[in-house]
Amino acid sequence: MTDTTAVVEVSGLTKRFGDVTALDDIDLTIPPGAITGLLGRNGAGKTTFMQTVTGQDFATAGEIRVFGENPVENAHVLSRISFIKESQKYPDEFKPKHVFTCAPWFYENWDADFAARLIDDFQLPVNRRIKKLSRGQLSAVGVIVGLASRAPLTFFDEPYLGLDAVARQIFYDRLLEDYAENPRTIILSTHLIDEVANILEHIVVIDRGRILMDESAEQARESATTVVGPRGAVDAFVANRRVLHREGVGGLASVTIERLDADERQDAVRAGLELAPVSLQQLIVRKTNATAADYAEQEA
Amino acid sequence: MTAVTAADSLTDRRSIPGTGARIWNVVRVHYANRFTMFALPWIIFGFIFAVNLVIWISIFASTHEQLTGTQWSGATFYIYVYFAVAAVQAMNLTFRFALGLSVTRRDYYLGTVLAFLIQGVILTLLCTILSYIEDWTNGYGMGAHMFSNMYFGTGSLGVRLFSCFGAFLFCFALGALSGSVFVRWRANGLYALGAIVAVLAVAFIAITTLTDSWPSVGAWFLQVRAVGVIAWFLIPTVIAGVAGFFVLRKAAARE
Repeated sequence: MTDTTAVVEVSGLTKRFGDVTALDDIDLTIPPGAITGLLGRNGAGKTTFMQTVTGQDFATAGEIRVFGENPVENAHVLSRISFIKESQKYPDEFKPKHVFTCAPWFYENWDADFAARLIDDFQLPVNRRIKKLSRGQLSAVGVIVGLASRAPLTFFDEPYLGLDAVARQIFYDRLLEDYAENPRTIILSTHLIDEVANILEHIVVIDRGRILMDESAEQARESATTVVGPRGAVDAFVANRRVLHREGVGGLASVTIERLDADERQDAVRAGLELAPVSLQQLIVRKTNATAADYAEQEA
Repeated sequence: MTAVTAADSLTDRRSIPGTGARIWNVVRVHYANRFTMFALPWIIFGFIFAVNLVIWISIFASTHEQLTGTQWSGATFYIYVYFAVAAVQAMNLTFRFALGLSVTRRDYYLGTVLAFLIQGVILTLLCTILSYIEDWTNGYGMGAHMFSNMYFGTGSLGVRLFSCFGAFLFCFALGALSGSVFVRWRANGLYALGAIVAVLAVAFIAITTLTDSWPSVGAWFLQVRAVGVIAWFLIPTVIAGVAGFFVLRKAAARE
């Protein structure tokens, strides 16, 4: 029997475009019924990952299981997926109202009232040609389809390019409200890490086509600490640890290191050092940079 | 609890629409914007007719004689070519949209074929009816022919229907193949497809010329007439339609 708890399960997933390796032998399981953040730099492989998992593109190697089956050309799997992407194309002559007419034919959980409310929230002109919409309005079309479709597995790939802060907050609020009432598996890729830090339950970080981090949001937040104090004391404390980031002013140093257990934390406090939490965004920036440094060392 | 939700969706295979319903939904996407599919082709159709009508009337008014030679009118060719281009365009525009709505390539292709077959049926009925109107009115009293042309609009009712629909199928199949090739390999694919067609045509011409077979080719055309040519064209039509399906099945929905 297959493992029915995984909504998305990939192993050895590799995707190459010519001599560029976008996904490099990835093994990953996305937890069901959670909001997972798929984070990473531009070109890290986030979009390629989502495109192969949704059958929009084809893997070079490896196995993909979505709802326990191969998603490629599989109507049983695909009809349960909503994949909203920044680059979504619409027929030239379409207006948003045409999109909202078509979408319910393909998503059995479509909620027309919810869609109408979202159109109102985002102040989307449904009778304007798609080509004439602003970038933010275009993003709103996708966001509305993604939310109102209530697909059991929903992907948002950079869904809010051009949306202002108010509209983004509406998106987060509606997403959380609706998710609470209609639990489903949501995978959200974004650059605005701090904005989404509070709604993510699971974090996956992709870098150079590989999984850099795959843990619960809580674990992720605890996975690093910043040690602040006099330079000498800090240096002594971090001497045998992997340093993710280092900065300093005058005689003070602030160094980000990996997880400390309770004893180590006490040691730090006894040494007169201060411990500060690391925001998700800082953590990811630092992990990505530290890994880049590791690569550079390997190559040197 | 959340795990149960996932397991439900895994095992519950009944709740999705059947193949026919899914294909029909793709047809509805093609017709979602009524203007492009319902209005535009027939506006163009009407425009070509209007232009012809003006020409006929002006000639008729100046010569006061019945028009001759209009039974060789190729005006309706434009409509067939229009549908070939429309097929390429529709695929380019709706393929990524449909895949964005989680449609399989298979359902998309079959739905697109069905959407255009409906257009073909409408076109065939319209052309055939108009060809009879031209017959009955003696070419609007001027001996004019646009729909009762020698290619698709003469002979028995069956022959007219078959000729119109067959010609439509041929043009659409070429359009569907080109559309699939474009969606999969973009412009480079179309150049390659054009090159292949050109090589085949040149090979045919070369072989015919080298074997001194042009007289028998001519005789063949005279023997099978337009309806026979269209019947033979059903072979490349089927090849193009099936090839388009397999080309599209491996097309990625990337930018």
